[in-house]
Amino acid sequence: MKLVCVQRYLVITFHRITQFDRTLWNDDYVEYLFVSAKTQQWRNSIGLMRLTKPTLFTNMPVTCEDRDLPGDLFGRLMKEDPSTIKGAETLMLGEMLTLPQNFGNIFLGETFSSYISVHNDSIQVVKDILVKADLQTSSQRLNLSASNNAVTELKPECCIDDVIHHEVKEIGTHILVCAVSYTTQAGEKLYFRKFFKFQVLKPLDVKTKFYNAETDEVFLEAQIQNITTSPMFMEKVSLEPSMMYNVTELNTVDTGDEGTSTFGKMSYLQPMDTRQYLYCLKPKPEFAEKAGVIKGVTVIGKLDIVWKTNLGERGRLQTSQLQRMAPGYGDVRLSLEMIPDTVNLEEPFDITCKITNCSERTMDLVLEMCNTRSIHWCGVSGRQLGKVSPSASLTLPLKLLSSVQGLQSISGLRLTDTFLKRTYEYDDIAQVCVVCPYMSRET
Amino acid sequence: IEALMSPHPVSTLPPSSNVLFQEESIDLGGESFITPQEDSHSTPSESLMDKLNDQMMESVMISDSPNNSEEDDVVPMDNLLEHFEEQVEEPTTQPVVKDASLEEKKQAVEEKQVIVAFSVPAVTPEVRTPSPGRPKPQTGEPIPVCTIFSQGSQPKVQALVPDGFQPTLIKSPSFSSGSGGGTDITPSKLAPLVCQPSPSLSKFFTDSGHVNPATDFFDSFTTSSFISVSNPNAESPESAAPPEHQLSVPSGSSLSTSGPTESSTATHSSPFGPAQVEATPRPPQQAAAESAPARPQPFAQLQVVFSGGDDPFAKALNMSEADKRYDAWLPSEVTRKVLVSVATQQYSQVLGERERLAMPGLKFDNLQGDAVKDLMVRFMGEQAALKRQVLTADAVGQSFLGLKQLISTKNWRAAVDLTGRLLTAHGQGYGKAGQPTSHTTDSLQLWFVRLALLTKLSLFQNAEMELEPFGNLDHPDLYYEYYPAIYPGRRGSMVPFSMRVLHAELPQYLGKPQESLDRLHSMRTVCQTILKNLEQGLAEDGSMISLTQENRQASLQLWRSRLSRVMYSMANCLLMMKDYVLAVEIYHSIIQYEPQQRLQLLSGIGRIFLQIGDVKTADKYFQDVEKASLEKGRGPTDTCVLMNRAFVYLSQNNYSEAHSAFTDVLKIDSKNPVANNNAAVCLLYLGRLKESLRQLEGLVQQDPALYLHESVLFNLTTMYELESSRSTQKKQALLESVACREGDSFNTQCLKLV
Repeated sequence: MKLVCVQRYLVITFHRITQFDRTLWNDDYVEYLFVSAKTQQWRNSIGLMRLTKPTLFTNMPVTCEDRDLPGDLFGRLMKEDPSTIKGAETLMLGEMLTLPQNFGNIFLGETFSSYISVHNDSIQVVKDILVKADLQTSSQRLNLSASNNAVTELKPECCIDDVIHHEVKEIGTHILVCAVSYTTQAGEKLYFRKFFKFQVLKPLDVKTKFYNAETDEVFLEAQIQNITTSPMFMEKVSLEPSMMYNVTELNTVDTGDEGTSTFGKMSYLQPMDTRQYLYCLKPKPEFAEKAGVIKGVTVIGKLDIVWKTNLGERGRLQTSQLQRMAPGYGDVRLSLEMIPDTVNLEEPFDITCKITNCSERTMDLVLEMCNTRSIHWCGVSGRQLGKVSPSASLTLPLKLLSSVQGLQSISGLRLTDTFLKRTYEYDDIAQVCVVCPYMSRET
Repeated sequence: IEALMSPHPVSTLPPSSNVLFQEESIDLGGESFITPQEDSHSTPSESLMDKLNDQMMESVMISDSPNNSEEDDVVPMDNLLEHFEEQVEEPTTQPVVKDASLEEKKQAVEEKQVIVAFSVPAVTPEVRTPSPGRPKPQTGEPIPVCTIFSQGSQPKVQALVPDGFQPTLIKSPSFSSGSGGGTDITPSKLAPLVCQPSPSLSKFFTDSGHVNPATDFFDSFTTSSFISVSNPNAESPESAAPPEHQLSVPSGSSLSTSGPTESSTATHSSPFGPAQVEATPRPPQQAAAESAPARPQPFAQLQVVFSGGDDPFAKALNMSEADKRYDAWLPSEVTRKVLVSVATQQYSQVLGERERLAMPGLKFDNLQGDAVKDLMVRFMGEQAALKRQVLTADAVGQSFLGLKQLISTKNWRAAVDLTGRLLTAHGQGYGKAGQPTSHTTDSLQLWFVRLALLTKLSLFQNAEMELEPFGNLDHPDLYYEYYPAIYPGRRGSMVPFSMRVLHAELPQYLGKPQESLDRLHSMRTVCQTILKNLEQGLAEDGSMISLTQENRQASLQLWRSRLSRVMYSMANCLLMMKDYVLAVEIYHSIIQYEPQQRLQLLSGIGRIFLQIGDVKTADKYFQDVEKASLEKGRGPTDTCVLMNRAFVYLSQNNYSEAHSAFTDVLKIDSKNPVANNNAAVCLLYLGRLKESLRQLEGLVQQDPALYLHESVLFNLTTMYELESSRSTQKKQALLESVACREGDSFNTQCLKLV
């Protein structure tokens, strides 16, 4: 069925009229519009306007003192100006709302809202008006119209209004297609469309880093960068852990009742600013037992980010599931159960090690302790630890002392499996702070 | 266990992994992202005009081809897009300010030549020293010798004229027939050719016997006797033939309107005794009129007479406390030394280093123009445009009075022109920059007004150009001490404080906010030092001069308010820079200086947080406002509280509640333009375009004085464009109502006709 009429006239009223439109229409086209406007009596127009939040009007204070030439003139002009704050005219940020002036940028996770107004510019009633708004993305076409029912009739100077909303879930080119079909009094079926193209940009850059603690805890450091051009208030940046973990957010410092943010007083991100969020994930008890033997890729969880910009314009994004490669512990894992944080110089102290057999076979282990420049082990090196079956572990108290002050790394443990004659080396197991006791006594 | 232990076989994971967003499946490699333009989100730094200049980068509209009728056709994306790619990356910047085009300049210079002469009575202390580099007088060159009024206060007369000027005098449309020598020339014959005494002035000076009107007139600007300063840069009246046109510029110097002084009204009556003197230069006037037929500007003639008699010592005593208070400033060390050497007569002004002097001059010519009228010609034709009548610089007295008239009728472009003429009369006209000149209280006030108006008109580059010769406003010749002969005993800055504020604020509008901050910080330091001096029992400048308790209090009050003005500027500048943390801090600290602005400031801070998107913190500030309002006994129905509530609703996307909160404000204050406008804006977001339009249109029709504001008109035209294809007609209707009411400074961009 051919719906198009030869004399069909399309009026484009678009609120962001700038030079842009003129460059788009070459002269011939404008001419065509002009001619048809005169001859055509059935005219409909469709207006589109992206409804971003309105903005607050700012005025420019110019003041003088009574003694200056203009006297109270400047002051009076500012008082009479409806956009100034009465009583504080020098305050720049006013209260007057102004409608969005241009399309602006739209970012992934934000809501695209648009006003669609179909107006009967003709002098006759038109019938059976059907307005359809579709959003074409690179992968799909979505229908955004609130209703798909035709309006029976539209009188002259009347309009059909619709406000559409769509949460943007794809990056890249989007095209809003507004289609209007209607029937004139003469029974002619007319149809026109209007396209509106926009780009959806990425608002944030997220980088993550994992740290595996020896205690089976996993620390996640997430760097979130605002790559938009406006400040962004981060309303929520949380980690939704996978079923294996419990999460603790480490982004507040507890002071009294309420924690204060580690980011200071203002919780917004300037354009191109980056923030580091830190999370601590602990395996749930039922998974903790197995943690030592968990291998390969594990799912940690996903970040949920909610931000707001001008006057509460909201956006929300979730990252994909963050995955981490579980650290490989080799055949034998040595972890620390207990270690003091500060010890005295040249004074023996105790640590407790846990040795877990992560292999599939039974091992017969011998422990050697090698002194380093600063760490001196106490006790016999080369002692037999006995047989350890797969997944079993044994706890081992050890004594050592440090001959050097400062932060010292504990190294020098060697385990040898006598069955396979294989030696496993354990260096930099932990750090300990070595202080001089005499110094501290004096102070 | 506190130690983190890195496992012995180092983790094989890459240290950072890029997180993929859920939907990020599209390959964007080939896609050239458009660099995000300045975001639409409002920032205080963007003036509305800037926003209007923003070009939309990504929006594209096309009509489908007539053959493409199947609505279910999914248009292949590539086809749709390929046409638009070029469009997307158009240059966006548009120069806001256009200089007067070069070819016009020469002509401009000629027109500028003024036309103004003051006769310098012999009584005048002649300070003029012909400088060797002075340009030779050309034929037809004007003879601008400036006559100036000196400082001093006349409290008694002041009391008679509390307003400072008499508005009734302005109204007479043409010069009165009784005006002395000018009467025999009919206005029609004269029309563009001959000097026409400005109505107000002629009225003053015809009746020489009656002293009071004249005193009244001059009292609007000055309060005591006159002193003439001949500007070394100006032509001498003797050498340059009979003055063609004599313009009387009552450049009253002292603008002090307050302050107790001791001198009597007697000094006032004397200047106007010999008003007959003006008859002397008049005969050449007619000849001049013929010799320069092209001259468009008729000028009034005024003979300024001086009061002699007062000896310098008496004058020094007369220098009012108010002057001291207002003029106080702390010059830089270098400048201070120069000023000391001037005082001890070790400094020769002639030999003074030129680079250390401020030598301003007009940098561009007539701004005169009326964008509203241009639009009318374009859209409605010449005939309709004739209806548009605005005051021009020609239509008012060539005086401060005329200037004020232009400003108050919002004809700021014309007012800028008038300041140009008056400055030309002072020898600081077009092309005079870099030539030696001398400053007076008046000339600097004129510069201030000119620059303030340029700023108001958003002609920032022009303002910057003309401010440039003033440097950092610290040249020695910008202090009274530099002119001991003319301003005996007077000390302090000739540059008005407001001009310093303007000078400091200007760079921020030209993309140099750091420079603004630097200047504002040094101004703040001076204000704080002066306040400290006052608190320590010293005079403002730190000298040991004792002040009466009353004067000290007045001075403290003045300098506190100045400090808070500087703080406001700093906060505003920081807001433009989007440094919200500091901006909020400074706005907060202003409360201690301006406790009566507490509610407004707290609400303002709340709005800043809303702008950032931090609704929670904003709400905290709004609750503080509510508490403070309760303490004041105004209760929760205070408009300010309701307004804040509406903004919170708005930020929660709750437009219907926001609308009813704005409507509640209107129940208390039905004339509140902000609430009216904002309620209409909410209606649009609720999908009620027609209602919103009706409301705004009604407002503009009922109360144009309040609603012909660029923000309201901008909203209205935006909605017209959304509504229908006939928006241009409706916009023209708006243009017509603007034409009836608004002056030449109206920003026509908000009508979006072009």
